[in-house]
Amino acid sequence: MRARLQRLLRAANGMTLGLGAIGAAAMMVHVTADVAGKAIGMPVTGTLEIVSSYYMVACIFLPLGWVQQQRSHLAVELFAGSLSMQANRILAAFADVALLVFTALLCAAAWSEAVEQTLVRETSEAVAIRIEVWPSRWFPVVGALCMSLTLLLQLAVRWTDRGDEPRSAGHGDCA
Amino acid sequence: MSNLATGFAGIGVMLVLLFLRVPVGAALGLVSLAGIAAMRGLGAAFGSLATLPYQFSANWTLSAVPMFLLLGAFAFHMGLTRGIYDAAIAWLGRLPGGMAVASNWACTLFGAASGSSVATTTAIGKIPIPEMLRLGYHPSLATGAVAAAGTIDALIPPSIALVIYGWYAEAPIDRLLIAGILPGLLTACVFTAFIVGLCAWRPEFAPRVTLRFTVRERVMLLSDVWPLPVLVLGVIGAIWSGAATATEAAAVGTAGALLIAALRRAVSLNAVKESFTDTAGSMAALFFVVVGAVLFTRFLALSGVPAFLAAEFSALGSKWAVIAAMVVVYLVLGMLLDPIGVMLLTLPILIPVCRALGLDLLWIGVLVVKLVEVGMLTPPVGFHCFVLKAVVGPDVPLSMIFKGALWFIAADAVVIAALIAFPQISLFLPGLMEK
Repeated sequence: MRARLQRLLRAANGMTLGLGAIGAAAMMVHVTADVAGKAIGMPVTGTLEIVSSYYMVACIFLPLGWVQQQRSHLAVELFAGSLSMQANRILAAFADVALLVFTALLCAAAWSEAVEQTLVRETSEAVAIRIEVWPSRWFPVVGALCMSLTLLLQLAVRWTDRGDEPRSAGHGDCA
Repeated sequence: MSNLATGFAGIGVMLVLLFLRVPVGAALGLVSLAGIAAMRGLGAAFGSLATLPYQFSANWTLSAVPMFLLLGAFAFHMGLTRGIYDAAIAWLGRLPGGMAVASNWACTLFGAASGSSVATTTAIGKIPIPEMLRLGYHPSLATGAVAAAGTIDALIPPSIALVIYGWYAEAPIDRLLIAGILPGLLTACVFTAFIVGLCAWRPEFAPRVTLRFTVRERVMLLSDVWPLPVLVLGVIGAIWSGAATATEAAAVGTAGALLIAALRRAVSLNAVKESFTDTAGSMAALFFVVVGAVLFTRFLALSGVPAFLAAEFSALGSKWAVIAAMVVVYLVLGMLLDPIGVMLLTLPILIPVCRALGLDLLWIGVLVVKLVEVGMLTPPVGFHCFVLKAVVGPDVPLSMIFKGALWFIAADAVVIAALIAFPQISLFLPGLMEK
């Protein structure tokens, strides 16, 4: 059961990272095309809006689950070496719970905002054309959700493995 | 509890959470939410969380960051950074302490294409340090030269630290990027002079190496590394002339890197994929902290802490008090986090204070980035020195690395004093740009 969940979550994190990467790629192509277009007097309309509202949001929020899977969120690493294994475990679990609380709140808040903006079909305030931007409101929801689930699974593994022989706490990479 | 007291308590709790190893974004975010809820109610806290992260991410100014990251990722994954060190040795190796000078410049050039000085230290430190140790270089000199390079490359464009500072301070990004050039070059020159001087005075620190490179070989080596400096210069030129915004210049530079790599047949599907996923992963990790910092800014603004501190510093009536406080705070925080983390943690307080005192935000930006990087070197717990220790392994004790870092901090102190005494070093080039 747990193994299946892990596989599923890994796949989801890989996919959202891929979508974020596509956001970065599209940004490069789109902006370059716009610059080239400007040179011949034919700029690509809406570049600024699409880059800001879609590509940026995609590569900032979608890979969150993957970053958590790699445990590469920025944290202070000081003193880790000077504590006992037990203390390290407790600290690591505390940090994970705190992170989970924040991420879950972020997910809930993003959800409520996404629903609201979807209902009004939010558009960007571009002068030239109207671009619907509400779909990108769901990117933070997806990213924060993947991250929360990944954290939950990592915590579950931490919890069930606590009786086992020394696995260095904090590096029990699982999900 | 008054709002002001809540604000200061929030800063305290946030620091405690950091020490308990709660990731920076969450530590900032949780404290801010609790603080806003205490002052304005739960609805206001939830509302901030619902609107601010998206609002600050869907942002054109910051889109220069993924493009700079991508440029670095392409350069790294497609071999444009390979050979930099060899070329640097061929050209600079004959100087006293030449290998150290070469490492310093190689790290600078590599760093110019890379977003993070920590990543630079990790990626490039592996090559020159064992080489220098083998040749009998003093371990402090070998490691110090590499550790200190971060204080150069964070200033030379494309600099992600300066983009993020500019976005936060609402200072013009193009001018900021240009403002970093002279201070970055000045640092590099001071370091070179320092290494050459030290090794001329104490030759035993760096045994002279006989290098026999023919002119032809040197040019050949240079032909291997030309694309990166040319791309960086192109990006700088486009920003300087006002022909393109930072994002546009970086995007075209990135496309250029891909094109050059394709012409050299160095493009593989895997390298392209890795470059894009690296960029997206770095963006998410970085902006998770930005989201926290944005919430923290809102919380502090509501509490009145920045206004209070601004008034206190204004009452002192001296920019020197602010600058002294900056030096102390950055040297302390440099032991905890990477440079951009430190910057995001402090700007919510620093910028309002500097605005109140009417300090030039371009000048402050260069100083902040410089000080943050120097903070990465300071004993007993400079972040870069630990990263480097992990890279070199048991060969060099940590104390040796810190000793070397101290030498370079002394050289950096000269640069910082010059930057403070002569703001023109930072402001001259941006002043030449078209308004």
